[in-house]
Parts: sequence; C-alpha cells; structure tokens
Amino acid sequence: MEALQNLLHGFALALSPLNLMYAFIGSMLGTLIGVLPGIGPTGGIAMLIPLTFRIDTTGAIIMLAAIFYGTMYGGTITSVLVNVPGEAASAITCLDGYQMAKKGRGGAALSIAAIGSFIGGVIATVGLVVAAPPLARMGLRFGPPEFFALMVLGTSLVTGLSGKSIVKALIMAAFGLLLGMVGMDPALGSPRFTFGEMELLGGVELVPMIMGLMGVSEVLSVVETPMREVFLKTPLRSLFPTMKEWKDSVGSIFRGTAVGFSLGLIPGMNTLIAAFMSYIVERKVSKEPDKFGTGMIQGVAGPETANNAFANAAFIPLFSLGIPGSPAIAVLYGAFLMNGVTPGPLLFKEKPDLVWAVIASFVIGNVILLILNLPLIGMWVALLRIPYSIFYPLILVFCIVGAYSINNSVFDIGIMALFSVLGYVFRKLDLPLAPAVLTFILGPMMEKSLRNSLEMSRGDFGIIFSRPLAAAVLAMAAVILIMFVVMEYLRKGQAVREEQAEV
Amino acid sequence: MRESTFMSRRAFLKEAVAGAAVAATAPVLFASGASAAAPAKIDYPAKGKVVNLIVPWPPGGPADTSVRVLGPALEKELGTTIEIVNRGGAGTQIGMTELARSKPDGYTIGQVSLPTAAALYLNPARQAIFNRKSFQPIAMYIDDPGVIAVRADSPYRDLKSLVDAAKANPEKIKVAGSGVLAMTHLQLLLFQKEAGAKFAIVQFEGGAPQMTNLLGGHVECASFVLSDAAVRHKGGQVRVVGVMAKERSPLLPDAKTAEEQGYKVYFGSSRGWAVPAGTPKEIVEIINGAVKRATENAEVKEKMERAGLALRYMPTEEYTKYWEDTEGTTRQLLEQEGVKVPKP
Amino acid sequence: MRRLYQVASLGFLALAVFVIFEGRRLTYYTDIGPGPGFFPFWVGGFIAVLAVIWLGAVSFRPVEPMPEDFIPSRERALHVIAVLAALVVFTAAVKPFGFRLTMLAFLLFLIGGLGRVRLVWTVIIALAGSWGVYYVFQQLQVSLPVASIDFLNNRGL
Repeated sequence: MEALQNLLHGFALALSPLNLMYAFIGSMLGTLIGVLPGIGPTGGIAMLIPLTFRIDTTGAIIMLAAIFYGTMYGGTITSVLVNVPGEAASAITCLDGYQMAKKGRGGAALSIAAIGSFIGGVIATVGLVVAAPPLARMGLRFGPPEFFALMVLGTSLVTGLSGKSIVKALIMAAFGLLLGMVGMDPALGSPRFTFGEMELLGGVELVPMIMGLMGVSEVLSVVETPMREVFLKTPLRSLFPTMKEWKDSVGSIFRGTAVGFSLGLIPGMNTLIAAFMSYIVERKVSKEPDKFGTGMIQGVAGPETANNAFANAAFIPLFSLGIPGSPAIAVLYGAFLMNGVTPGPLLFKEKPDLVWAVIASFVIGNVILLILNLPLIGMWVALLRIPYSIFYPLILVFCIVGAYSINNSVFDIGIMALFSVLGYVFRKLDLPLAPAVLTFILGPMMEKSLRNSLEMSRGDFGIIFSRPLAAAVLAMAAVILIMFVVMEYLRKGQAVREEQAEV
Repeated sequence: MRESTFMSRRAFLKEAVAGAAVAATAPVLFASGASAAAPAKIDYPAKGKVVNLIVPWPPGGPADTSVRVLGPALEKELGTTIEIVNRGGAGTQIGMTELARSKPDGYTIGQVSLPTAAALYLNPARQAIFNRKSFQPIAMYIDDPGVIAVRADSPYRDLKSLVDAAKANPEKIKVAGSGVLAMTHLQLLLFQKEAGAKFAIVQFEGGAPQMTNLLGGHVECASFVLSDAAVRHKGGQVRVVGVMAKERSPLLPDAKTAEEQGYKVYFGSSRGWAVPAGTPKEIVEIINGAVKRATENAEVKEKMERAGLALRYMPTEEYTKYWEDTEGTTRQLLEQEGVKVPKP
Repeated sequence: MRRLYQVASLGFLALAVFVIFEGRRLTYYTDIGPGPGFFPFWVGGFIAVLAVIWLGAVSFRPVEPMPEDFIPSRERALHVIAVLAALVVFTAAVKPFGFRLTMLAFLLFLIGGLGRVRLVWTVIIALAGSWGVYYVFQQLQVSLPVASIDFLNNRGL
C-alpha cells in the first residue's frame, strides 16, 4: 500500500550517511542528557536548538527527535545502578532495577530495559505509520472531564503499589497529594503551604524531590550500614539476561508497549505516569506480586518499555495534528517551526519526503540506541567496582548538580536535602515511597482538570458523568477497582485453602 | 597656584597665549564630544566580561525561545559573550526578583514580560519584593497583541457572533484562558466589559493546552497571545476573529482588529529588557542601541516570523511610558477582580 | 518497633491537623467549585483517620520486633549525620562561595575526611568533581553557581 512505499522511500533517505550521522549524534546526546541528572528532554532540546540551525531541515528534525527518545534510554542507567533516577520517568525503575543490581543482575536489567525500549519504540513508530491521524483525533477527544476521569482511574490504581500494609500505602499516597498541593491553587491562584517562600509558588520541583526521596536517602541508608562493601563485591554474573529472565519479560514488554502507547496519544500526559501504570499492571498480572520491590525483572521490562513507547507515540499527535502533548514535545514543536517545518495535517501533503525520512529515522534511531547502549552496559556496571567511599560522594555531586540545573536554583538543592531526610525516615519506618511519588504527580493534575471541568459547566459536577468518554473511563476505573478487590480476595482465599491443605 | 605675584613679562605672555589657546579650543572640544561618546568613554562591555541575560522562564517556552533567537545577534552587537540564564518559576517572580537584586552595572540584564510582571508585583498575595521602580527599562523587542480565536470550522466567524451568543447564553460560551490574572485573562476582562457580555472562562496552564482544547472542541473560543495562534491561523486550523491592537498585525494581515468590529480593546503581551534601577545612563544607552540593531538583523527577523513572534523595537523612553501605562490598566483590572492592590 | 510506629502515626496526625486548619483558613468553596481550602481540608481529614487507624493497629495488635541492625552504631550514626550536615552546609555556602570552591571542600571532607581515602586520590577526585564538573556542564550550557562574594568573584570564581 501507499504508506509502505512511502516508508521504504523514507528509509532510503534516512539511511544516507549524513542523516545517519545526525541520528547518531542525536541519540548520543539524548542518552547523555538522560544519564545526566536534572536536565531532562525539555531543557536539553531547548538548549541544543541553535545547533540545528546550521544543518539542513531534514537532518535537524532527525537529530532533535533522536535526542528526545534517546533521553528515555539514558535515564535507566543510573536508576538501576545507584537508585538515583537520572530522569523523572526512570524513578519507578529504581524499585526493582536497583534490587536486581544488588543481586548482581544489573547488567541483565539494563539489557532488558534497552531491548524492551527498542521494541516499544519501534511498535509505537509502526502505529505512527499506520494510523496516525485517527489515533491523534482520538487523543484530542480528551478534554478536562475525560482527563479528570483518567486521573481518578490512575489514583485509584495506587493501591496496586501497596505492599503488605495498605494503611501505610494510603497514608503515603495522601501525603503525596498534600505535597502536590504546595504552590498556587488552580482555582484562584492563592498560595498554599508556601510559608511565604517565593520559590515554592510553583510547587515542589519534581526532580529534586525524587532525587532526595529516593536517591540521596538510599545513599544515607547505605552509609549507615557497615556492610556496604558487600554488594559491590558480588560477582557480576553474565551481563546478559538468562532464558528465564527473557521469558518473564516478554509479556511485560508487550503490556508496557500497550500502556505507553495509549498514554502517549493523550495530550497532557507524561512519561512518569506511563511508567508507573505499567508497573502497576505488571504487579497485578503477576503470580507473585509480593516479590515486586525485591528485584523482579518484569518491574523493569514493563516500565522501561512503556516510557519509550510513550515517547515515540507522543509524536503522533504532533505530526498528524500539530498538537504538542507535553512540554518536551512543545519545545520540539518550536524547534520544528524555527527550522521551517510546520507540524500538522498539511505536513504529510507538503513535505512527504521529510516526514517519511523522519519516521524511518525513528526506527533507525532506536536501532542506533540499542547498539550504543548494549555494549556500554559492561562499562557502566564496571563503575560499581569503585569503592563506595569514593562512589557515594560522586553520586551526591551528581544529585546536587541535577537538582540545581532544573531551574538554576540553590533552593532546589535544599529541597533535595530535605527530602533525603524524609526518605531516610520513611525507609526506616517501612513506608512505601512509590505511592507518594505517583499521587504527587497525579494530584495536581486531578485538581486542575476538575477545576477546568467545573469552569466549563459553571459548577455542575454532572459534566463528568454526562460526557460519554469521561463516563466510560470512570466506569472502567470502577470495574478495574472491583476486579482488583476480587482478585485480591480470591488470592487470599487460595492461600488460606493451601494452608489448610497442608495441615 | 601662583608662587609670587610678580612675574617676568615673558612668563606672563606665555601664560596669556596658553590661556587664550585653551579658551579658544574648549568650546570646540566640548561641542564635538556631545553626540557619540563623552571624552571619558565608558568601558562597557569590558573585554572578556560576560553579560548575563536572565530569562525568568524555564527553557523551551515561547519567551525563552525568543531570547535564543535574538541572543546571537545581541551578542554580536554588544561585542561580548552573552550567557542565557534561565531562572524560571512562580510566573517570572523568581527571575525578576533576582534581577532586582543584581548589581546595577550592566552585566546582568533581565527579560521583562508585561503585563505579567505588573500583575505580579501589584498583587499583595504574591509578596513581591520589587515593583516598577526597582528596574530601569531599556527596550521592548516583542509586541504580542492579544487575540480571540475559534476553530476553523466554528459557526462563529467574527467577534459579533461570539458576543451575541454570549449575551444570549451568559456564562455558557466557553473561552480558554492561559492562567488566572495572566494577560489572556485580563484581556478577556477588558473585552467582556467593552462588549457587555459574560463568557465561561476556563483557565488552562499556558498556550499549549489552550490550543489542544480549542482544537478538540472542548471550548468554543480561546484568548491567545497572537504568537500562540499565528502559526495555526496561517495553517488553517484556527481562525483569529479579533486582534486587540490599533492596527492589524503584519503577521496576520487578514485578521480584523477588535476596533474594526466596534470593540475598543487594546491589550497585549510584550517582552523587553531591563536592568536594575540605578544603572548608569550610558550603559542603558549602549544596551538599547545593541537591542535595536539586533532586532534589525535579517536572520533574527526571519526566525521570529517563522515562529510567529511579532518583533517590535521600542526605545527606552517609550518603553518606560508603556510600562507605566500597562501598570495602570493592570491595576484597574486587578481591583475589578477583587485583588486589594496597595495604593501607589 | 511499636513505639516508633506510634510516634510516626502521631506525627502524621499532627500534620493532618495543621493541614485541616490551613484548609479552613483558605477559601473553602468558590462560586463554581472547590476553592484552595477544599482539598487540603478533606485530604487532611483522610490522613487523620488513617493515622488513627495506624495508631490503633500498632497499639493493639502484635508488631514485628525491631530488626537487629536498626539503630546504627554510634560511629555509623555520626557518619550519616556528617553526610547530611555536609549537604546542608553545601547548600548554604554555594551561593557566596560559588560551586567550585564549595564542592571542592565538600568532596575533600567526604572522601578524605570521612572516607579516609589516600590524600593523592582524594585531591584528584575532589578537583575532578568540582572544577571538572563545572567545566563539563559549562559546555552543556548549564552554568553552575559563581561566587557572590566580591573578593572571590573578581578572581573569576
């Protein structure tokens, strides 16, 4: 069919030495930005825009896009190896990825993450080729009420992150909600919980908070144990995943792709949500949900695939309708404009060569990233051999610079320090961190979309139930919740019966 | 100083001639020194010293983008390295605070967004430590009028149809804003007053969600800055039905002004440069000149146009007056919305 | 562990009470929807309820015993506090002294002082971590803080 022909033509263009080079440079820069703390795709792309002025348009677009999805690859590395998320989206990978590294399976985790990311990215690109316009239009149908319903769904799923104690998980989830309320409220713009501090008017900055809560607190925990040398000396078994690990991951990869892809189509979503949702899904379908958090490969494969599928799917609304779904894509949009390319429905008609070359380069870029990252894994893992008394101060440098560089703000370093103490205390008390991070993100989005919905209906809550898509999402949330409860009940029943059988 | 009142005749003659020579040439020296540079030339910018441009927005937004486009040209005109420092947060409050606290030596210049900054410091809830007097305005470089736009296939084809619909269904016609007390909100308040109609204002966070929701049909119209709508108006996805300026914008020559349609509303967003108050006049002049020449740079003009940014240079005096006037209008609108603005 | 959990739950309860009061202070409901005070009030209430449940659960049911190495030895505890203190001092000192100097001191302290690594390596790594990192990030267009004290500033720090 025509699309296939165009795609092949696009490949021919994208495989030109020059364009290959741009894809390569972009992928490398993207990975670097992902590894480096703090600077995420948004800032990174913005700062690298002037680089692209000197290149031809097609090459510029290829490079910028490669930077974007490249960052998804880089963020995983630090999450797995030192429990410090290099990039917000990789936060959930810390949970199981780091545990795997502690058991000497860090290499395997990174490999699976890279391969899963590749598969997710490519499938998302296929989606782009096959069905971009209708998919994008579907995404547009999500207005504030639909978004609110989605947020309700997401928040109710937080129970999927709870370990043994549901009370503790709920308290942390509520705490996360409170943290999200710091700043100016969506209704009137009044400052809430800012204690007169101007820097808090925009809310608590996500990356410093996560770095402190998860990363630095981990450093403090390890510094506390005299046994710190042990885990580093654990023999590094093969860098590659075992057959069992492969088998376990396959399902996660495809489920992660589905989750990441669907969320990528909705304007206003971000990668962290996609990763979290994938993690929750994996826990729920797993036969051993309680083992999550101790080093389950599905907890790495799913989320990492999801965030790549998300990144690539986010191009769909951009290319077919010119809708930037998230700040990073909005920056890309601006970059495209400045290079003389106007994303939107006319793009396919006016510059088909450019579009198909870029789409082809998405696939190529993902291949390049895979080739780049796999061999490097050995190098990254070798870094773990450095004595911890040197390693952990370097981690701290990493975190400090990362926290600072978001907004060039020393205050953010202070936030990180504060949350590291909180994280340390929470760990001691066995209070789960993940629910708080999830609700911290979802809470403000939920409040905002509720407010917008009520502004649309002038105070009538019915708008959420009367709009078909919103009602459908809410119904789905209810169904899933009920399903979870039933599954939990059945599982407990099964466990009781097994116990009785043993007696 | 005279050592003795008695002088030889020769010495006296010498002195007289010298004195006469000085007296004759002095006026010439002073006159020629007036226009270009004073006899003692200010060494600004000093060789090798970096000039910091504080951009009170996070990287990537339209405000930041405009600086990155202007930056290289400005660097050339100033003749020294420029460093763009993003200090985003709290709707420019953090960046403006830092600018106000910087040394008035010309090595820290800040981008000012109006009326955003004014809405900020006039609002006691924000507890801003600065106001208009904390700064010395230099020049404007972007003038972005407010516009109202609808989706291309919308039944509303001009401002009148929107106003009629709003009058018939008060608070039912939804219009997307970009933030509480942002320019887009203030402009709507002015428009509502002028037109005598009330809309349902739905406040999103910034231009992107506004556009997404307009295109998705969740709101009937939207209040934008022109630059947020320009590209899509030209692309045929939206239609700008009213521009809140005295004249039509060269970027969108086919978009009617509100005035043409009978609504006298003039409001918009601007981006300009300022330094902390107390910066020496000569330095201000130098920077002003550099900005002017940078805005005339062909590459800058082209990129700005592509990005839909309305380049417009306004020199120091005019910009200072503009700031004052904008503050006045903003004050009125804030008070109307119940904000207890302290007396000037 | 019981005592600790009880203290923690009371801590959350106190937080909840504070939040509820803040919620009441702020506008509760606007003409079309919840105002700034609405959600703090209810989430605060939710936390209060959960905190009480938690308190009850640990007070009247068996609670797991404290793990052996829960309380660190004096030496280790001081180590943790030292790291934290270094972090706090860094945050306070980076503005006046600039990134390079402050980070140098920070690293010298942590690697050489606490970690007791050989002087040679300590200095090399500390320099890499301060001056080196500064340079790398400068290339990436991120300018780490420069000293605000004039004396240091004029020397280019």
